[in-house]
Amino acid sequence: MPMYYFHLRNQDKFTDPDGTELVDVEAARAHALVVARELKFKSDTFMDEAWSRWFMHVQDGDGTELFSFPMSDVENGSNN
Amino acid sequence: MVTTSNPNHEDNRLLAALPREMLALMARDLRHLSLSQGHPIYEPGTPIDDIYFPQSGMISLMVVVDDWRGIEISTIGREGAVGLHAALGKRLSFTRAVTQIGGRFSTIRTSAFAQHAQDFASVRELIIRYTENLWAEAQQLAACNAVHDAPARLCRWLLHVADRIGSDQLPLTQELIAQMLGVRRTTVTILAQALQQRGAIKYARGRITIVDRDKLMTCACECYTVLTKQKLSPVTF
Repeated sequence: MPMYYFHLRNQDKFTDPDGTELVDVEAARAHALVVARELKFKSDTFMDEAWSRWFMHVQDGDGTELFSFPMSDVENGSNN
Repeated sequence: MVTTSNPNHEDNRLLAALPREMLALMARDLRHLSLSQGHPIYEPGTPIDDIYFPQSGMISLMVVVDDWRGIEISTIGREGAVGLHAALGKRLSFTRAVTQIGGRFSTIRTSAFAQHAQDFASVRELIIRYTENLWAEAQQLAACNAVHDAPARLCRWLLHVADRIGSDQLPLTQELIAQMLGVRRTTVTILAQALQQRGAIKYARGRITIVDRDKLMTCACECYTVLTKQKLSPVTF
C-alpha cells in the first residue's frame, strides 16, 4: 500500500516524517479529516493562532503534494 | 521472626503503606519479577491468578473495543497494583492488562494475598481504599475522554506516566501513545512537535522527555490535578 504524509502548516511547520500506509488517495483524504478533527476538537486556536491560519497538506511517498485544505474548513470534531 | 522486608517491595507505595510487620509477613509470598514492555498480564475474561505491584514499570488496563482496539482506561505504576480486588473473591479480569513500560514488579499469588486479606483488616482496608481510587479515576477519565481535546489529554497522560514511573524520561513510541489515547498516530506526531516547540518536551524515536513540567501542566486538562490528588493521597492506617 502507498504511503501518505500529513503536515500541519502556517509559518510553523509540523511535519509527519513517518507517514501512514493507506489504500488510496480517498483513504488519505478520510485520514486527513480524522486527524484534523482530533487536532481541532472544540478549540478555536492551535499554538495561540486561529485555526483559519493553519492548513493540512498531504503528500505521497515521492513528496508530491496531493491536496491541502484550511483547518477552518473542518467542522469541530469529537473524540475518537 | 521475619527480618526487615526487602526494600524493593517498598518501592511500591501500596506495599510501603502496609504496616511494617504486615509487609514482613507478606514478604515470604512476594516475588520479584522483571518484565519487558508489551508483556501480557491479563486478557479479558481470564482468571486473576496473580497480583502485580509495580516497583518501577507501568501497566496499562485497556478495554478492547471494535474487537481489536485497546483503549487505555488506567495506568498503574508504583503508586498502585493490578488485580488487587481479586483477593476478595475469585475474579475474572474485565480488562486487558499489559506492561506498557518494562521494569521491576512485586507479584503475589492471588490465593496467598486472599489469605492475608482474610487474616488482617489492614490488607482488606488497602484493597477497598485502592479499589475506590481506581473507580474514582475511571469516572474522571470517562468524563475527560468525552469533553477534553487531544492536546490536553496528551499532556495529562504524559504527566501521569511520569508520576507512575518516577521519571521524566518516558520510553514510549508515538504509536503506543496514540493507541492509549484513542487517536491517530499522525495526530500524536503533530502534537509532539508542537509541545517540543513550546519547550515542554523533547522527543526522539521511542522516547519522550519532559523538560518543563509547568508548561506541560498549563496545556493539560484539570483532570491531571484532580487525579493526582485522588491517586497519590497516601493509603494510611
